[in-house]
Amino acid sequence: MAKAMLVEKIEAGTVIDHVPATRAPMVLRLLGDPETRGYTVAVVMNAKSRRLGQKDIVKVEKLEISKAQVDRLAVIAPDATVNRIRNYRVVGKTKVEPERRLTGILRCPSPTCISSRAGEPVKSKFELYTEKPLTYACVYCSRQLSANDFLTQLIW
Amino acid sequence: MAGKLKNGWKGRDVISSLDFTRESFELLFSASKEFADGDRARSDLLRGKVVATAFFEPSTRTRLSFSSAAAKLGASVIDLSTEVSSLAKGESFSDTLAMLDSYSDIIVLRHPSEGAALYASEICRHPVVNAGDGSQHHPTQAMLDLFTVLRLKGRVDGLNYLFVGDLRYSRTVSSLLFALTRYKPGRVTLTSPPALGLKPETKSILERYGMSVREEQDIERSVGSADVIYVTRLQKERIPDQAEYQKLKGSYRLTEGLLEATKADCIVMHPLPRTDELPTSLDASPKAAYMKQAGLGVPVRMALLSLILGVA
Repeated sequence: MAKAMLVEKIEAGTVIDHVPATRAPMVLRLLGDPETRGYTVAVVMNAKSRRLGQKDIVKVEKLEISKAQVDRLAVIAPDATVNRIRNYRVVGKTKVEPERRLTGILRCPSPTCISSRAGEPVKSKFELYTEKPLTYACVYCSRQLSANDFLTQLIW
Repeated sequence: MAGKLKNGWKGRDVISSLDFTRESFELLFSASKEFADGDRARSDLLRGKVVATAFFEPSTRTRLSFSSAAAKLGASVIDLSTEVSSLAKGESFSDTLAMLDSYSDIIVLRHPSEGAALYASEICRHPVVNAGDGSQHHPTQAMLDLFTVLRLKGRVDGLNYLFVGDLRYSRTVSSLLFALTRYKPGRVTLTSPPALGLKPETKSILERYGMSVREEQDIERSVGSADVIYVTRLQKERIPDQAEYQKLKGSYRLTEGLLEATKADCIVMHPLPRTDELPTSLDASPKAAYMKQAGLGVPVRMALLSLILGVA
């Protein structure tokens, strides 16, 4: 028996695959909640994945995501692939890769870091520290963040 | 001095010891030696230059040695008094820095927040010298510490270093350890109460640069093999919980008995000020190097200002 597709193919837009299981809502939030802006959105959660065991998939019709959004995506879904769809076909596939430097994306949790100082026009800056496991270090105070911290420190 | 290396200093910011190569340090120490030995009698090297000092935290030696170094070289010093300036009216750090930048040729900055000097360097067109920010960086202290070792021991490589005290909140310790990654020290041992051990971030950086350190809680097991003992006070102002401070107060001390157990040519250093971890009864010992160390702050900072302002 042919395997039924859970979600229909989209004509044009973006499919984000290999999102860690249960993080699809975060991906949507990162994309600016397109479901609240009239976009057609399909989400598959906890799908079987050979690579991840379980994964989420997010499809958004007629939406293309920006470079800045891909950079943010790298910290919550470091193994994701972003597929650009035109006429029901994949016309571009981008493997999310951790950026060497993240500016204004993660908030430093250290209260004594200059980037935490209220009233200063300073943007947080993190540099890739290790790729496996994925860690970033604050360029101002050297505080290191790992995958679990990214979710709490992400600047939405 | 080699022109190429000289250019490596000109106009640069001094944010972290990690920003410098061994060659940069050696060039600095070569110039520092000339000033320390009195070989350079000229006092007008920096005539017409304005050095701004902006200390957002208390300081005695660092502030005065920078001012003294600038004065000896003929520069004018303008000082931002954080209590009576517009900061007291709520002016932002960035606005204050932008103002200082337009009034001076170089800015010497101390601040309680980690990364303040780096942030200042992003704002300012003129070089920024970190005179201590937060609990991680105090690069010019590390430079004068290395110069002290070089002067008193003749080398930095191959010596056994023992760090004693508050290693968690002391920026002089992390800065000197960072600077030592540019050399080939012998054994590096850290002795502190468990709550005051090196921060994981600092350890991780040292590992990244290939420096192995040994942690040893019992100071008696380490003093005998040390060539350089570096003692720091408990950093009361940076310990978040003052109840914790009260518990840790007096938890370590370099005693006369411990000093007797050291090698005959061991030196004891301390960035000062001291509290009770280094009793004054040790001052008469030929091993006590901390006052000489403080004195060398001036020639090292003279060399630093000269190199950055491109006149050394």
